[in-house]
Amino acid sequence: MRILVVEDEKKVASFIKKGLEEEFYQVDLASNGKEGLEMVTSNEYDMIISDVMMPVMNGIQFVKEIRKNEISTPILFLSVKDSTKDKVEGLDFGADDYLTKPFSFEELTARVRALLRRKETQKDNLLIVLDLKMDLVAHKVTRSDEEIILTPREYAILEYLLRNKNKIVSRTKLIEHVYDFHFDSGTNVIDVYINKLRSKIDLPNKKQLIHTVRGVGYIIKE
Amino acid sequence: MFKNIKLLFTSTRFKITIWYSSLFLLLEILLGVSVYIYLYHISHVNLDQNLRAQAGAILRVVEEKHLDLDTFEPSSEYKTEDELIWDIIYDAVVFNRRNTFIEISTGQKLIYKSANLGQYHLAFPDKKNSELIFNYNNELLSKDVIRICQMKAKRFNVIVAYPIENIAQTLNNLTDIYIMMAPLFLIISIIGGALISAKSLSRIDAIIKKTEEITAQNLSEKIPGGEYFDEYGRLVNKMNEMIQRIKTSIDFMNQFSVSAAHELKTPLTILRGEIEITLKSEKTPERYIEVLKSNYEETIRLIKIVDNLFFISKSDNALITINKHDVELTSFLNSIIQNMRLLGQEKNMDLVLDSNSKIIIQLDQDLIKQALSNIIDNAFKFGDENTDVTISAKDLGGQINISITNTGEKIPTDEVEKIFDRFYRADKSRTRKTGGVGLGLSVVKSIVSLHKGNVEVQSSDNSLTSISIFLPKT
Repeated sequence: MRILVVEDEKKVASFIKKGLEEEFYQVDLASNGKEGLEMVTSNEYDMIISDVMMPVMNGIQFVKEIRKNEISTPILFLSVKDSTKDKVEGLDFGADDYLTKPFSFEELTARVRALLRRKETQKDNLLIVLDLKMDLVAHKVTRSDEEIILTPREYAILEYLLRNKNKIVSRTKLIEHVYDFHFDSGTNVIDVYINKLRSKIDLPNKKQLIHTVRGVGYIIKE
Repeated sequence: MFKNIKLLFTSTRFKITIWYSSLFLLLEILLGVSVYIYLYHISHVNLDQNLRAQAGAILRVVEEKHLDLDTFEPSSEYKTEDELIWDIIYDAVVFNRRNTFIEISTGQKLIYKSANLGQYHLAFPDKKNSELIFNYNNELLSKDVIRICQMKAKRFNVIVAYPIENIAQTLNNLTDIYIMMAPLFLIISIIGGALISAKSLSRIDAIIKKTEEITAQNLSEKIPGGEYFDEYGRLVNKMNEMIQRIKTSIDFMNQFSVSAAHELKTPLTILRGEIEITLKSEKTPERYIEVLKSNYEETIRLIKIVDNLFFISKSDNALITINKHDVELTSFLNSIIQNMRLLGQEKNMDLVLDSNSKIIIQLDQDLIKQALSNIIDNAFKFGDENTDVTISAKDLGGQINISITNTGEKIPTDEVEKIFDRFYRADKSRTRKTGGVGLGLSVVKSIVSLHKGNVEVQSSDNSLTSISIFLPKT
């Protein structure tokens, strides 16, 4: 899951990035709305976390521009402004959620999970395919109740596949959603990770869940 | 209930009604008494005058006729004595509208006696005085005192009398009317007083009602009635002006606390976030040190904000005292540079002094140090990486000039003046160039003003921004 954080206060942006990365999200940073807008229009994000008061282009203008471009990525506002008026304004201009600073990081991640869940039918923090379960809060993956230890990158790929289960996911899409934007998509690194994932999940005595769609990408299904 | 009754008795309306009615009653009594006294006096004087006039008229008539009953001779005018007497009686009765007692005598001989006297004969000792007025008691004639007017001319003695009882009756009737009317008047005056005070106090009630409604949340509302030019109107206007003043200072305080909270929230966000993430899982020792360093920086930032806030609130309340001492400027600036230099390391910036002359100036070291470090802080914050921040000191004769110059983006002309505004940063239009100034420069301005100096900004196209302080030497 790839998240864009738009925040002008460097240190705030940096700890959000660190914290979210620990939760296996891929995080890109932009220091104002204008920069953020360029990144949103050229990359695909699963979610945007944005400050409101920023130089050059503030959060409100940023959200307006995003919605004008018909991008429906969930947006969470982070702001020091805590009046109802400010929250209502933010939400009315197209943000999906509003969190006031100083915020609890735990709450931020919970809201991120909730927003990511919104476009899916899934209503809890479990992603399930057959006997494969992914707990998004504990970051625990089990198959037939046996825990599987994954690296952050493997986890991110599996999460993206599970969120799009029964749908074919292209290599490019995977790269876009599990790597930050500096990554060179020309390599076959995804195939390497998929192979590693398969060796951990699709054990010989289990039913195969990750399938290769030749020339297109991958799909996870029962 | 009890409270309501108590409220009624303590209300101004009640008091005004009571005062009004009491005064009314008092005036009524005074009026009654004076009317009584006046009438009593007037009626007695009138009675005396009437009696005197009547007696005089009768006397004149009988005297003018040159009447000599002792030696009466029939003439063409009066054929008989009777004719003469009836003429006199006629004249007398004409004057006797009030039915007074009349007696006319000459010497000891009674000539005429009015019919109302009946059997009585008002015989009084013959006095020398030509005119006498006195009171006389005769149970048989009248229960009351009889007022007698005895008038004597050459020969005739005329007595005209009238019972005072009749006057007393009139006065008693008047008193009765007063006593009967008094409670009625009192009731009318109470009702009237209550109505009048209710009418005039209803506007006070309106003021009270509105005043109760007005709280810190709706200070923009007005108390009604300011359009009148009477006392209430003036009161309402003054109250509205007071509310406006309170609103201004509350607005200011709200703005101040909102802005102060905003200032404090950014470092608090960083502290909370970093600590929370660090505590979530075990980190390397290097990471812990890195986080602690960052936390330390944010703590310093918080202390600075709190210091500035405290300074501003003290300066707003005129609680800052300035302690000027002789200071050698170059070494003073050098000591500041030693303290502040480290802050530039992160961006590879250095702080250099451009002054070697020996300048002695009187200033408050602590305050000026605070002002200069705020400016240097900003210079580092907004200066370009790998450039130097220069402090220069110049002797301009009566005053000295300290300038702090950094290389960086130009501050837009229309924003130059705003950077000294308190919480300029909280302004929605803030930009990268001025963002983050917050309270620092407004503190600088206050400190410089306390020294009776001034502060200027020059931001030129050649990407040099300098803030210059001008301070008088003494």
